[in-house]
Amino acid sequence: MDKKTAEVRDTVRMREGVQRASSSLLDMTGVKNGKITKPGPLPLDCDGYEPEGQVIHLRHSWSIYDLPFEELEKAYAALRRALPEKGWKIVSDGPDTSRAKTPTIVADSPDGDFSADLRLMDNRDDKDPTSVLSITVVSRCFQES
Amino acid sequence: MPTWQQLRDVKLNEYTDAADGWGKVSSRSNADKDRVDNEMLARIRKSQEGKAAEAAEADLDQLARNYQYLHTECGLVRTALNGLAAELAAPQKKLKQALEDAENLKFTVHADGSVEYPAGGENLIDKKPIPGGTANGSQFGLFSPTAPPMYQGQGNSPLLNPPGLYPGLGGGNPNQAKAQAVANAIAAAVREANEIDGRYSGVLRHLKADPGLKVENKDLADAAADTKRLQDAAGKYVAASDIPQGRSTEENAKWWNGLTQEQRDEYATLFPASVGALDGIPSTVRDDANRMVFAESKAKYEIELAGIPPEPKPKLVSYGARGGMVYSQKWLDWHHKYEGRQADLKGWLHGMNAIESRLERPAGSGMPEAYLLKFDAEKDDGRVILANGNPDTADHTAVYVPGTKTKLSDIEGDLGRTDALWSQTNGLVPNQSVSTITWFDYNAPNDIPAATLNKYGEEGAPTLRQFMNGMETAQGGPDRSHTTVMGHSYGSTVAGMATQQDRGAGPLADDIIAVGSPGMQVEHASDLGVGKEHVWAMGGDGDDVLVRQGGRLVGHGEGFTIPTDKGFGGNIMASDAKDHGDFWVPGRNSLFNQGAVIAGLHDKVTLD
Repeated sequence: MDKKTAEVRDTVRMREGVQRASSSLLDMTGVKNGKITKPGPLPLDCDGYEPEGQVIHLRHSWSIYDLPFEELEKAYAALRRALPEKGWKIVSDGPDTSRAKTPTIVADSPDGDFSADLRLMDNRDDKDPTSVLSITVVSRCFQES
Repeated sequence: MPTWQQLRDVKLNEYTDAADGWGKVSSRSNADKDRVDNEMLARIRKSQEGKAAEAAEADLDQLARNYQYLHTECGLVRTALNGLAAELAAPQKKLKQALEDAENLKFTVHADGSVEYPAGGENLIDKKPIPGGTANGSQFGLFSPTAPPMYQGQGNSPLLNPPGLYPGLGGGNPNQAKAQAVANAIAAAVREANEIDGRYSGVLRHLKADPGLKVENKDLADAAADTKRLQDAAGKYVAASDIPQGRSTEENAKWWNGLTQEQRDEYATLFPASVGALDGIPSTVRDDANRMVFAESKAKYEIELAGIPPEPKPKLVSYGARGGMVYSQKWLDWHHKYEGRQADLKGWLHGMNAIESRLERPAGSGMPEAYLLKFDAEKDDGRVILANGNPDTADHTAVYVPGTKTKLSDIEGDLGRTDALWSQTNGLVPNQSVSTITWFDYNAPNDIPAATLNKYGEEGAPTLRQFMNGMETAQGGPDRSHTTVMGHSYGSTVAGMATQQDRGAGPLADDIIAVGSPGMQVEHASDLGVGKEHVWAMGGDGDDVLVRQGGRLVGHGEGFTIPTDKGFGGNIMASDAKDHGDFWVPGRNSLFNQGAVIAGLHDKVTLD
């Protein structure tokens, strides 16, 4: 299998870029209350690239929670409206292939360096977990400078 | 050398009281080390920048190292004093008993341990009492109670100790034999005390530090040597053989629960590797013990690596008249002696850096505290079990088993995957506690051809089974936590084989995920013992296809079924479809789905 190469990027800059994208998405939801999960962007290998072990991408997996489902629904709708206004390109928008048919939006950032995966997780039927608006921002694969 | 008077008078509780004090310092040091690692470092990073931050961090690193050293060394002093007191109790008791006997018999015990006895018995010829004398305890074991009767009580002066005339006829001074027994008991007690004293002073002599000690690698390496020395010396007081081996995890837990807190501290300080690997005891205990092993190993390897001389130059020298080149002898010698070892050390330390960055994760980072549940750099390709968040108390626990080519030097990738899994799962169930664990405690095959062999799975499966049993025990039962085992490539084969081990202990986990599996050594999902609706399979990324289909052909998939076949009967999760746009980023779907299974949100898993 042919190995690809990736652009060299500064890891700190890329991390900041991911965080900015996440902040931007949070703003787009218009959410004022509720809670946000804490971990920041984390590095992961990109397989199939050369030089081996030096190409990574960043993944920031977080969610908005502790809000009634209706609020999360509104936040999700606000996101959908705001994304194209802010220059993001919506690539897909519709239910996923799970039994729950979770509404899922995938969008690319204006500069093309980041991609967002947004899911409105309805847990009202489950006895325990709260519903969440799950947001994952990933960067492109890049070679660490 | 102690005298019998010293042995009689020694207050053993003074040693154990002192030991308590040392134990407290040891525990405090451990707590303080944690504070430095998790709290203070975080504050520095938040509030300082640039050179000031670097200097402050370096100081805190030194402080943490000092505390680690204190924790070990003070713990060893505590155990040495306890061991000394415990062992001296027996000879002290025997001595006191002998002295009591002497008093009851109205014998005088002299300063040198000899025992004076009065006249007694009857001379068969003149009917007078046989004179008394002085019995000397046998110093050299020559005249022991088991020696022939004629020689008992000879001491070292036949003139002062006339043998009873015709002892075989029932004559003789009965006091003599009794006095001899007392003298022997005194001598034996003193001898025993001397031996104990020698053993422990040998260790204690090394447990001294210079004032203002700045703990460096060599000090931590010394601490490891001190531990070994005390292990040897204190074997009668606290022995490695006390620690259960090859028992069930319930029995391990029972043993641990039956110890006092002080005993637990002692076993953990003296045998950190064994305690650290004991399935069934609390993860906090294992983590403390393994961090000790980790710190001491790191110091040892850094010292050794620094001691390797630099690669000699030139490597090649000319040979003959026609411009040929050969390796220089100097280089060849270096190569044979050092190159392999140097590469090993560098690799281990590289992997250990990855582990250390998790161990020292500051409290404000948003990621949970890390628990080191196993560490051994040198066994096979290395062994490490590292948990994000405490599995003993987690609502959802995931155990990730990596596959082919996994090794300590490259463990950063696997640890990174486990971190991302934690973050993903936490995002899905933010009000519940989650623990994700990298489980690399088996000899993984080093390449694809080796991965066609069963033997790695056969060796690894019982270990994985025991680990899962131990987690269940530490959690308090099978229903306390929702557990998932996730095997990646050959790791899924190990997981599959583990389900067939120790079946009396119940299912291996609540859910099983197989990613890029070449086969799990069972024909159908229901054979895994968790119910087929709790079996989840997905293809891996990239050239995993070769691994999967190759596995089918060599029989990891029993009956040629592998988990991603519909016929296997498990849930088949959506893999990462080729994404849109400019770039292809692996993991978008796979990590989400893995998180959804682990979080128990099974209706949210996207299916193929």
